[in-house]
Amino acid sequence: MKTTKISALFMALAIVLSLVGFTYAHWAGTVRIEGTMKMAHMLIGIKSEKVLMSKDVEKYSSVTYEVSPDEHTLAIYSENLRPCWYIWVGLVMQNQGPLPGKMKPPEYSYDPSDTWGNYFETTEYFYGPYPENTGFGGLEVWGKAKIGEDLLSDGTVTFTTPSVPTPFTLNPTEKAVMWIWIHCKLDLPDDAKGDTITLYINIVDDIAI
Amino acid sequence: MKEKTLALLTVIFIAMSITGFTYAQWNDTIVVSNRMTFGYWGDLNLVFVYPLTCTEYHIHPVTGELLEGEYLGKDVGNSDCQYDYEITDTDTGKKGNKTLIITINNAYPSYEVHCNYTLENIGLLPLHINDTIISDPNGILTWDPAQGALVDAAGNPIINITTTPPLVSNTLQPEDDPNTPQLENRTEFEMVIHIADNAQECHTYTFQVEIMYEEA
Repeated sequence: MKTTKISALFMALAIVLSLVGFTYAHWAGTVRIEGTMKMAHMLIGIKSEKVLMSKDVEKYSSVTYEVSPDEHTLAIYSENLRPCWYIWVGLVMQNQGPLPGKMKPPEYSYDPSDTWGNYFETTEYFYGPYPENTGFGGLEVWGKAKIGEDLLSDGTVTFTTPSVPTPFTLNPTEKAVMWIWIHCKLDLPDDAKGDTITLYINIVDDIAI
Repeated sequence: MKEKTLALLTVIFIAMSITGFTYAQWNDTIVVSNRMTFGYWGDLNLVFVYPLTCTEYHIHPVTGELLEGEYLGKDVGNSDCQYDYEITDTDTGKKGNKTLIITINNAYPSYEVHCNYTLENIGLLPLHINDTIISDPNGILTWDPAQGALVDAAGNPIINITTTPPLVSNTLQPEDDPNTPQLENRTEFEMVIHIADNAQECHTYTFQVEIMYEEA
């Protein structure tokens, strides 16, 4: 008898709980907003590059260089640097992303130590923007640029094409040319002799919206 | 005296008889039978209905004015919103959708989308919105109510989300009689989705807003 009563009680509780759940389900509900947001990407990459050395510098120094896989950095490996050593680095950059980009002066970093930056000076010149189908081979500031004539040892240029101040907007698919004068100062420390350093030139861009 | 004693005994006898009878009555089983029939209350049904629009906006960097479209008329980002999961209320026969899907492509910091949607009570009972839960289904972002934004692990706002008028405490009546606009069964809301400066390029972010309601 006692067992029967307890069973009945549990049955009653189970029924009541089911009813409560069923009733609540009918008296409450949810609607939902689902959002997906794909961010655009900024990609101003290096499409072409060259490093020009004067014949004087070529006699005692060598330079190799490569563009990083993300096309954002140019690494320059230099040997036998001396005071007054200099090179001209030319880059053609293209906005390959969907967003208008804002070109800014590049950033420099050095390996093995950024303190090497104290012994170098740099000057940048920007030209453009140019449409994607521009023939750069015939362009005064690229294909026809010569060290000693257009790109001088003191870091100045003689192009008739005026350079553009930074920052400037580079719309999707547009290209721009940058020339960088990199010059080794006179006060190189003695312990620098025999060292090999790597200079990284990092493209700096920002969203232009 | 003898008569008085006889009368007293008679009274006592009668009283005891009544008590016994009453007890006998109280000790019996009385069955109360009642038939109860529940009224039909139907389901609660809050749904999304048209109109539905998604519009791009930007804040002018100089004037601070909110303007439609992208800055300088550019066409970079794009947005789309649509309803999904249609249902029909079994009592009223009205239709609506349970899910609103918003898709934004090529978003960038400062990009802003205003999504205007309408919620309608298509059931038979009045209801009110009692809570909202904003979250990231992928668990990358968390909702920070103080900033009104989904934030990254460092607490930086990534997506600011605001809804006007506020969703919670809105009551929607089941009627849709034009003569009683105070008992309107639908309300239009505007959700503003603003991409904050800390949003990372090439990333895909997700968010979810659960709107919970119960009988008013």
